[in-house]
Amino acid sequence: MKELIRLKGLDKIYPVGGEDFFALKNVALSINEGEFSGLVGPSGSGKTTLLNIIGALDQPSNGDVFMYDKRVSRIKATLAAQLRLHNFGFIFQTYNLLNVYSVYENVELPLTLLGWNESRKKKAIQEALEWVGLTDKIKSRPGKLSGGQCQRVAIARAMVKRPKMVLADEPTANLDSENSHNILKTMEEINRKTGTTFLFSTHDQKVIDYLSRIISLKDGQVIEDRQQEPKR
Amino acid sequence: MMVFKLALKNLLSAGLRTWLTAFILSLTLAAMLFMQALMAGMLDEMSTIRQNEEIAGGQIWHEKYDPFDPTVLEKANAALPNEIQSMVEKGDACPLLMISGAIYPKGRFKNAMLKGINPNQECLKLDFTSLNKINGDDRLSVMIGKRYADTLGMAKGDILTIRWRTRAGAFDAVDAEITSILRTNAPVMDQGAVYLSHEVVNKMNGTLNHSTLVWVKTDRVPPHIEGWVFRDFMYLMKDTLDMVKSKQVGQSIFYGMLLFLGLIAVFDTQALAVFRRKKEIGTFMAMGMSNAKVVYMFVIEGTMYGIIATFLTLVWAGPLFWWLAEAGMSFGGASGDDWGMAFGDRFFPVFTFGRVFGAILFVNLMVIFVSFWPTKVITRMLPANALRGRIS
Ligand SMILES: Nc1ncnc2c1ncn2[C@@H]1O[C@H](COP(=O)(O)OP(=O)(O)O)[C@@H](O)[C@H]1O
Ligand SMILES: [Mg+2]
Repeated sequence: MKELIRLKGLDKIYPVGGEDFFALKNVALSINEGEFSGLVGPSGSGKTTLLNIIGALDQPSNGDVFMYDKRVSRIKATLAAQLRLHNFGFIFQTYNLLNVYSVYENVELPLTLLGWNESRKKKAIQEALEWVGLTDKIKSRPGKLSGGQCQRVAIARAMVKRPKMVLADEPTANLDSENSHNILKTMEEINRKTGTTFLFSTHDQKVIDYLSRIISLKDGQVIEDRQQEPKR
Repeated sequence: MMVFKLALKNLLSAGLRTWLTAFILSLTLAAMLFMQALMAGMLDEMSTIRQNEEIAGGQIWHEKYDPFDPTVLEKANAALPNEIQSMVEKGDACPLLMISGAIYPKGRFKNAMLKGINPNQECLKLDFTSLNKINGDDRLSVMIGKRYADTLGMAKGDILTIRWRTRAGAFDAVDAEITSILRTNAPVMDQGAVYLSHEVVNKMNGTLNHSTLVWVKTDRVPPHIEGWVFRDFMYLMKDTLDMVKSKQVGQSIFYGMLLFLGLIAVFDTQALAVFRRKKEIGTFMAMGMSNAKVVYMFVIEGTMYGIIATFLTLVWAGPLFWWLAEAGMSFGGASGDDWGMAFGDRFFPVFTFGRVFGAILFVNLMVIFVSFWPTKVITRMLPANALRGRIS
């Protein structure tokens, strides 16, 4: 498998009360194409911080991020935006949908940013909504949907441009058990069908059961990195 | 396109707040447009009236004449030099001799300015021909303005005793008949003025064909006439222009305050948006939108207030202004004279494309500016921090 992401000696330091606080400390990792893996650890262990740095939403204090052997840390904000636009899809704990937009328009947004034409957009949106089983809700506003449905829209929005990698930050934290399983099943299927790399951040056992690789974090450090046979 | 659609959706979903802000801006814009038009209309009206009834194409003054100093009036007249006299004969100039005197309406004493004018003059669009009238008992013919007549309680046909001081220093008096009432909207031509023929006032003054000033039809006058000074239209309009200017300052303060309110509302909305909508900002950035584009999006959203306000104004104030400009407005019986200004009982606000466009442009530029200012912080915002709801 081809290496997609490599992290080298990553630190993320926040000055807290005049002292340096290490949210991440000397993190080194390699993530291959097509992985379905997760950053696992208690709250405050640095999962979101690491996910954000990988997704070019944040900058490391020390160390570097490489994507296909090209350094993508320490780049200008506009380049980082381009990097995200073309390579990453994000899924958030709170869905982060635009409430003034319909389901269709929410999913459309990344494609509009990419400058796709209408017919190409339409096809991709249709497909993405089929994956998450929401083709009958395209005109609805997010406010009218359940949490599970909202997260499905978010998955469609992340997937619609067929990114290299989807970063999902505690995607099940606001969902009940049934919806969590549905979401995870959907993402696992997409991963299998499309080969898209998924990286989660979670401390939810339901999520952990779906993962094929578990990267455990504690106090900003990787304390364990193991493959597993997904339990489901 | 996407940005406009999103901005519009965001605004409309904000509901009442949006409409309130747009309404204040619309009110501001309408007030600006209306007041400018009102002033322009007043100035137009006053210029026309003063040109037609008071100033003509300008005036050539005896060098000693000073409208603000009555003590020099006695010395401020002379026979016209040839250049001017020939203009008078061609009908291009019309002489006026002024001396101070007094009148006794119904036995009361009143100071008055005795003005000798050529009854057939064609410089002003006023009719003095009834000064030609020959009365019984050799009574002189006089005219006084409508408003002056009203304050004096005099009417056409009444007899007025006029007294003046001759050059020799003695006082003389004569009875005159009001042969006509002068209708003018120029206050200077009305209050305190008693019109007699140029010849008669010269006789009273003991002079022959002396004048204090002449009106000219156009500003094509001989340059440099010894002992006389040409005062052009703009010079004579200066007090009106100054008054309009000072009124405009007062108005600017008024709609400046309105505009300030509207802009504060926009600013506030934008500043609030930056704080409240951080997660949304972060989400846009996560999807690959650059910081500059996010700022642009917010500015467009703020700019929409100006666009909506402009549209609102055109819809509600447009027809109203149109009507006012066509039908004119009155001050409910109050005349210009009560305001110390030269205008009639009805006048017309003047809307020009330039001024309307200018006001719209100005308001919208201000809106764009205050939309941009609070959102500028987004330029340096890190997406991770925006998503976490942090400022920096
Ligand atoms: N901008 C910041 N300033 C200071 N501390 C921060 C900031 N962002 C995150 N942290 C801290 O870094 C640590 C890791 O946070 P986070 O990555 O969100 O952990 P997790 O996602 O695992 O809960 C936490 O202790 C958090 O308080
Ligand atoms: Mg987290």
